[in-house]
Amino acid sequence: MQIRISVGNPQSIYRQIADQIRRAVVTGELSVGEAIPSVRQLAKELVINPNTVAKAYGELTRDGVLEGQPGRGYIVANRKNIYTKTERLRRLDQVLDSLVSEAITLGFSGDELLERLSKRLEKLLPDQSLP
Amino acid sequence: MRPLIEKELRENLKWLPVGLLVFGVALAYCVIPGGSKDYSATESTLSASAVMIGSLFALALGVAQSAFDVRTASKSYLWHRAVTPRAIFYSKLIAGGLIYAIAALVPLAITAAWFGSQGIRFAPVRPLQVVPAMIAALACFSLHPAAIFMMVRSARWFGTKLFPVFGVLPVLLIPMIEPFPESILISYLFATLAILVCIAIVAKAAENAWCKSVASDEGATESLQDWTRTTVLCSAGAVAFIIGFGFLGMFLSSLFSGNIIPSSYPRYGIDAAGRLWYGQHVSSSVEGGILKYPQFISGSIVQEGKVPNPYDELAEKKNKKEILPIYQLGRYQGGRILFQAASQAVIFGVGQRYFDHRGFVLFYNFKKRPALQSIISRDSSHLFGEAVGKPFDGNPIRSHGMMKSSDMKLNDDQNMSLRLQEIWVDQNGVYHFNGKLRTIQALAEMKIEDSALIRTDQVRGELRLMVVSAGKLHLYEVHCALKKNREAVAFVDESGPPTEFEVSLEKIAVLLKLPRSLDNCQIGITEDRKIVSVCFAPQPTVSTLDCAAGESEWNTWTFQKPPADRPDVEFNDKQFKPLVSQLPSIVVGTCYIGSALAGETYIRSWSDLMYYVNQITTFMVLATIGTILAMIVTFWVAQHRRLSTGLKVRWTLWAIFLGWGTPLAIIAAYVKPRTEPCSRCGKTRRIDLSTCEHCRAEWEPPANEGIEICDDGFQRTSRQPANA
Amino acid sequence: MLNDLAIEARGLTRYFDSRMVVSDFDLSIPRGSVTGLLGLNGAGKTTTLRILMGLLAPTRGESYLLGKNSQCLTPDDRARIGYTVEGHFLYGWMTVRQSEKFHRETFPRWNAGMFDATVRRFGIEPSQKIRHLSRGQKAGVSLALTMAAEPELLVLDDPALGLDPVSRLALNETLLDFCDGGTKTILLSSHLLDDVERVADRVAVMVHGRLVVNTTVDDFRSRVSSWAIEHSPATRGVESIPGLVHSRQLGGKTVVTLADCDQETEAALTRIGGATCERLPITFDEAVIAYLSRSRESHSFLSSNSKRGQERMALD
Repeated sequence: MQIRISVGNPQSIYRQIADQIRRAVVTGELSVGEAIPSVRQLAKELVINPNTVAKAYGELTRDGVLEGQPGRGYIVANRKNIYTKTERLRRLDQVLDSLVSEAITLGFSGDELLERLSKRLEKLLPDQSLP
Repeated sequence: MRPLIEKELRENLKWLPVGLLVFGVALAYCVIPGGSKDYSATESTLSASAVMIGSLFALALGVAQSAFDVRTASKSYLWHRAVTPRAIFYSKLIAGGLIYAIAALVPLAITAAWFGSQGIRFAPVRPLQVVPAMIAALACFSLHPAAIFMMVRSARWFGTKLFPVFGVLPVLLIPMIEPFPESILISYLFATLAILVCIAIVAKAAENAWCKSVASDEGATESLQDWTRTTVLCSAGAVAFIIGFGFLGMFLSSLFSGNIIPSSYPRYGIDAAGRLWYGQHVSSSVEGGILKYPQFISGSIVQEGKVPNPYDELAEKKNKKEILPIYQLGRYQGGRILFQAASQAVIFGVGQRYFDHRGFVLFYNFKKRPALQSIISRDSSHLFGEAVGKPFDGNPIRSHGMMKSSDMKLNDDQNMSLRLQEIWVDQNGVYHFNGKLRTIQALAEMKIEDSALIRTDQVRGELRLMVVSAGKLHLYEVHCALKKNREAVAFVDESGPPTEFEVSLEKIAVLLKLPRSLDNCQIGITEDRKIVSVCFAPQPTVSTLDCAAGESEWNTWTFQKPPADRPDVEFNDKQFKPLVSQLPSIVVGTCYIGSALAGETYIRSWSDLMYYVNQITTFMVLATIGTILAMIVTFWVAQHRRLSTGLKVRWTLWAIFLGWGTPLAIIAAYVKPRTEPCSRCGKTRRIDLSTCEHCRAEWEPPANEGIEICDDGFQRTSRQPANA
Repeated sequence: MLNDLAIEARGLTRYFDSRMVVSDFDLSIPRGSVTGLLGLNGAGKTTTLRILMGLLAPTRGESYLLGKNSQCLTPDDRARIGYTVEGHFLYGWMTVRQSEKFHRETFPRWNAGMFDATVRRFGIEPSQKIRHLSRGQKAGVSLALTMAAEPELLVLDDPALGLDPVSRLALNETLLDFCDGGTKTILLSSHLLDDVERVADRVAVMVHGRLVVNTTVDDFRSRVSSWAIEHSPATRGVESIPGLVHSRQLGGKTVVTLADCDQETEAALTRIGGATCERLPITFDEAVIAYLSRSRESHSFLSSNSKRGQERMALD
C-alpha cells in the first residue's frame, strides 16, 4: 500500500497515517499478517519525524489493528476484540456523541445523518448489508 | 592550533607585501644619501620611521585580523569549533606577529646589510645603528594585541573603545629611555626586555578581553578582575588625560594671548661692568616677522644681602642687550649615538663632520665618491683608509658649555678662511683645526675636566676659553692671525691659495682656588676680564675677580635666595596671568605626584633639593589639592558606576598615583549598569543581578497572558507568584 | 533530572541597551526530541540560541546544555554539541575539503563517511570553493561539518533560510537521519512551518522575547482551537474571551483562535456569538500563525489582554 501524507492539513500527520492504515485494513488492502514498513523506513520514506510514525503505530497497536512482532516490525493483527464489550460501547458512544452533536450544530436532520452514514458503510464494507 | 594559525596566515598574508613595501620605502627614504642629509641622527630617523610605519601596520593588522571574526556569524562559527577562545586569540597573535616580523625585519636587515657592505666610506653609518629601529618596531607590535583588544570592546562611546590603543602608547616611548648611558648594549637589552614584558601584559589583557567578549557588554558585571586589563586601561586613562590636557593648555594659551609668546626663564647674566643680574630671559623668537635675539626682558642687579627681583623693569631698553647670560661649565659625556655631528654640520663648500664614537672626526663630502674625505685624530689627519693616530677623548666638536658650535669658530664675517678655523677641546687638550686645509694642531695639552668658550659679545668680541684642569681654573684669550701674511685676502674660496693661520692661546690667569664647587656654579667673563661666578649651594654666593686689575683672590659675598622660580610661565612683556599659570600645576601635578615623590629630574643633590624646596612646596600643595580633587571625582565616578565598596576604595587609592587618569579608566573599564525600578522597594536596581541590591527581591516573572501552552509543568508553576 | 534534559534554561533575560530582547525565558527540552523554535524575525530566537550556545552572556538567568552551564562550555563539551550559524557561515576562500580539514582538527570523533554522504546529498564536489557554492550547497557543507562531528545535540539557527525545495528536502532528510537512533536531540529555529510539522515532534513559539508555547506538536494542535462568529454588536467583545490568541475578520465573520478552550471559554463564546458560533478545523500552521500574528499587534492590545490574562489566572 502507499501511504500519503500532506502537511498543512487540519489532521495531524500521525492521524493521517493511522487513518490510512486503518482504512487499508478495513478495505482489505492490507491483509492479516501482512508486514507493514518499519517506523524508520516509513519515516524516511515520508520525510517525517520517526516519533510521529511511532505514535501512529502505537495507537494502532493499542487499538488492535497492528501487532508488534519482535524482530519483524509490525504486522496487521488478527481482528480480535481486545476490549470488553462495555469498553467498546463506551468508545463507540463517545465517537457517536461528538458526531451527533456536530451534525446537529451543522444543521442536519437525523435522516440526512443516517443516510450519509449508511452510504459510508456501504463503501467501506460492501459485503455487509445493513439491517 | 596549527590549522587556526594556518587559517590566519592564509587570510592575512596579503598584508605582507603591503608591509614590506611601506617599511621598505620609509627606510630607503632615511638611508639613501642626499646632499644635505644629516647622518648624525641615523638611529633616530630610522627609529622614527619604524615607529610611524610599525605602529600603523601593527594597528591595521590587528584590526584586519579581528574585524571579520568578531562579527556575529563568523565569531559563532569560529568559537563553536571545539577550541578555546584563548587558542583563537593566540593563533591570531602568532600569525600577526609572524607577518609583522617579516614585514619589519626584512627591510631593516637589508638596511643593516647595506650599511655593512658600504662601510663608513659611504656615509657615517654602521649596521648596529639599525638596532634601535628594530627595538622600536618591536615596541610598536604592542599595538597589535591592543587593536584586537579594541575590537572586542563594546564601549558605548567610540572614544572609550579606542582606550586600549591609548594605553599602549607609553610602550612606544620605552626605546627612547636610556637607563644605562654607559653601555649601549645593556640599554638595548633592557629596552627589549621591558618591551617584551609590556607586550606580554597587553597580550594577556587582550586575551582576557577576547575570551570575555561573549558578553558584548564588557564590564556590565564587574568582570574586570584581572590586573592586565586594568593596567592597560589605567595607562590609557593617563595618556588620554595628558593628551586632553595638552589640548586644554593649547586652547587656554591661545585664548589668553594674541601673539605667540616665547617662554621666559629666570637666568643670571652679567653686564659690561661685571655686575651680576638676575632676570627673565627669553630665547630667540619671531614676533611680527622680526627675529628677536635672545635677551633679558626684566630683572635686577644682584646685590649683597638683598633679594633680586627677576620681574623688575629694566631701567633702559638698551640694557636688555648689554646683559649677557652666563652658563654652567660643560662636562664631557659619552652617548649612545654612534656618530655625532657638530651642531652646525655643514661647513660651506667643504662637507660635513661627524664624530665617530671611537674617537675620530670624520669628514664627508657627499658630492664626491667615496664620500669620506678624511679621518682626523688628535695628532693627524688622513685621507681615506682606516683610522690611525690617537683618538680623541670625547667629542671635540661638540658644543662647549651652552655655546653653539658657530660660536666656537674664530668668527670673522669678512674672511671665509677664518670661518673655517675652529677651536676643539677634548679631555686631553685644546686643538686648532684648520677646516680649510684639514690640519690639526695641539695648542695645549692638559687633562681637561670642564671647559667653556665664552665670547664677550654675542656678535663680535673677544673669545675666551675657560678650562678646569687639575682643580684649577685656567683662563685663556684666543688670538688668531694669518701666519704668512702674503696678501690681504678678503675672501678665500675653495680654489684660492691655502691660507695658514697662527692661532695661539694667551694665558690670562690661572686661578688656584675655584669658586666653590663647579657643579653648581655658573661663570661669566666681561670684555675687560672681570670674572663673575654665582653658586647656589649651600647658599647663593657671588664671587668676582678682576684679572685686569691683577686680582688673584675671589671677592665673595652672599645674597638672598630669589623667589621661587615658576617654570614655563607665560610672560607677556608686562602682563602676567598668575591664575592661568597656576592651573597647569594643579592639574598636571596630580598626574605626577607619584613620580615627583620618587625623584624630580632636576634634583641631583641634597643642596639642589634645598634650593628647589621652595618650588616643591608650592608644587606639592597644588598637587595635593589636585590629587584630592581627583580622588573625589574617582570616588564619585565609581559610585556612579555602582562598583562594590572594595573596588571603590581601591580605585580611589589608585587615584593618588594615577591622578585624573583614574576616573577615565573607570569610565572606560566599567559600563554603567542599566537599572530599572524595583517592583518591591521602588529603588533602581541593576538589571544584571538576579536579586535587588536593596531589598533582595527576585525578579517577578512577566504576567501570563492566558495563551501559554506548556507541557512541562515544573517551570511555570514553580516560578508562579504565590497569589496565582 | 538534568540528565534527561538536553537543554534547560531558567529565567534567561537579555537586554540590548535598554531593550529587553529575551524575557524570562524558561525552556526544557528532553533528550531525543526534535524541537522547532518558531517566532517572527526579531522575536529573539537567534539571541536565545546564542545565549544557549554560550556565545552571548545573558543579562541574568542561566542555561545548561547537556547538563553543562552554557557560559562555561569546554572544548570537550562543544565537541558534543553541533551548531550551525544563521546563514551558514563558512570561510569563502576555503574549498569544501579544506573546510573539512579546518573543522575536523578540533573534534575527537570525525565521521568522514557521514561528511561525504551529506555533501553528496546536496550535490557538492569537495574540491569546490565555498565562495562559489549556492546558498543551499553552503547549508549542506555547514550541516555536513556539524553532523560529521557526531554530536549528541544539534542546535540549528534557521538552517532552511533561503533554501530551494530540493535543498530543503535534503536538509530534512539529513536531520531525520541524524536523530534516527532516538537519543539525539535537535533544536532548530525556522520559519518554514510545514517543515517543522514534518520534522519536529515538539514546538516552541517565541513572542516578544517570551516563550509562550513549549509542548509536543500534537499537544499544541489539540489545545489550540479556532471558531467563527457571525458579526453582531457583541463581537466587539471578543477580546474579553479568555485564552484569546488572535482574532481576525474573514468575510462577514470573526475568526478567533483560542488556547486551551475550556467550559469557561465556551461560555464566553456562546455569550458573544450565540448560536452562530462554529468550530473550524485548524491546521498546524494556522495555529502557529495565530500566535505569530498576535505578536504583530500593537502593544496596547497586548497589555490590555495580559491584564485579562492575569484576571483569569486569579479566577483559577
